Amino acid sequence: MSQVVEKTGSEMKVNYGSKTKPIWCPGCGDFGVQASIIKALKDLQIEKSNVVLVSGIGCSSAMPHTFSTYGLHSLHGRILPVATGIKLANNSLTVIGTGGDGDGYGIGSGHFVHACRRNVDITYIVMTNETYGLTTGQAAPTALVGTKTKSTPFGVIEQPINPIALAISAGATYVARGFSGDPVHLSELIKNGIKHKGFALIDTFSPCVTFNHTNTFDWFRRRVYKLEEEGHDSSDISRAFDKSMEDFKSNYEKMPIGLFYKTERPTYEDLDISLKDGPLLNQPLPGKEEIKKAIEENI
Amino acid sequence: MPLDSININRGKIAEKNNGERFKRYSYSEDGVSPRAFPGTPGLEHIAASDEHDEYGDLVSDALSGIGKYVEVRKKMHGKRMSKIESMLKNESIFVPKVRDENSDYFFVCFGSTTDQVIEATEMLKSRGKKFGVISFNYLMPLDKEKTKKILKGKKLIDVECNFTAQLAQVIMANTGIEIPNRILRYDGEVITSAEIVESALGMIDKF
Repeated sequence: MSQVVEKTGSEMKVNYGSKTKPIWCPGCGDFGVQASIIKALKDLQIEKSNVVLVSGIGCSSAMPHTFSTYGLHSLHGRILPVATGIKLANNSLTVIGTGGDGDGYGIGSGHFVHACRRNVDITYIVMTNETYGLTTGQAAPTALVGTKTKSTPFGVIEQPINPIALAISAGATYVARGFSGDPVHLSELIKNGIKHKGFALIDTFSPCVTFNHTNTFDWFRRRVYKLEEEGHDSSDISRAFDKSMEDFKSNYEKMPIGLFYKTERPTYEDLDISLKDGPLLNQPLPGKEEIKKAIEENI
Repeated sequence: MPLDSININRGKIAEKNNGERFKRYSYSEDGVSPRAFPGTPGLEHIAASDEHDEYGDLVSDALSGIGKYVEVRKKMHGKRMSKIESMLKNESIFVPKVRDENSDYFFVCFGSTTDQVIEATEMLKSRGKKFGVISFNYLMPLDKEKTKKILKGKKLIDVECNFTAQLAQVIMANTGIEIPNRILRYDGEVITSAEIVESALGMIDKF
């Protein structure tokens, strides 16, 4: 994240929330995620006009409407290409993707892998509830084998996506997982994700209280534990992979949250020569003579 | 296209908003509302994909079926579609291009077929046949009345690289003019000018 100054205390007077009423059911996990994002922005004191929230389609993708920052409610599964475009047009902005697991790991899974590789400096918060809630409860790609839903009446027969392992292997430089039931911990992960220079994934357990009666708040509370309390070394990619497989290895009895993996490498913006003179938005267009010269030299 | 003829017009850009909440999708005569670049203080807004009101707030989901919001949806959809009318009114490019106006026959074509068609007219000229070309750059929007005037009364041969003569169908739908004489190639190969010449010479007796 570029140009953030962390300040302590509650100096921030800016209200990041909007008056728009969220569409979420009472008790939805997304409320905790919303509060965590607001707390992270307040802690970092980022100018409201420099924040862009980008979402796809789904209940959780209604997130930007509950903010008074800039926002773009895009198409299903297209958070990351849109967010990448915004960041490359003006890399002084703080770009945050907010969407669901169906949107991100299902419809947008191709974009997800390439965004990790590209390491564009954006923060991607995925609200994982194992279901397509807006369309009233079909199995998401994160649903566990055997889960019965409207679209899988005999139980899911496919393996669930492992977003943490996928992100680490694809080259993401900040890979964390939070829980909506612990918003203080989650907001720290988001804050550090925004501060991190590079692609940050914060996968978040955000239970659907209406259409998923398996993976409930209580279900998660019994299973999650914090990596930092166990002294996990997040700079060690092998240990990170090992931890990312713990859900599977423990048959979903132990599910770590916290920072799995963090590393530093140049971002896409650092390496793209067209951004060497600053944000594209502020660069003057070349004159006709310059364009003519470039065409003659190169074509 | 000569570089000097290109002008960059960035359209309507919003100015400062005096503390009022910015209406990204404000209703306007030509259907175009001023836009704002993220990063501009005071013009924060949501760019929405679902149907929305002037602010970008959604009028879907829980608000479906409520009279007031049904009206908003109708008005916003109408506003968007009015851009097409504005485009047709303000630009003269939404008609096909005519080459060699005073010809006896005209090929009708679009896209990459056009080059071979032009080459074919030159070959036909050497055989004493005067062929022009009517090529389409835009199909949507299309100035139907002007297009109809251009095509009407001319001896037309449709040249396309597909089985169903898609261009001829679009022309029929928009202008009512049918082009029964067609040179179609649909084996996946590029149509050649020699082929067009041969087929066209076989067709001109039919007019």
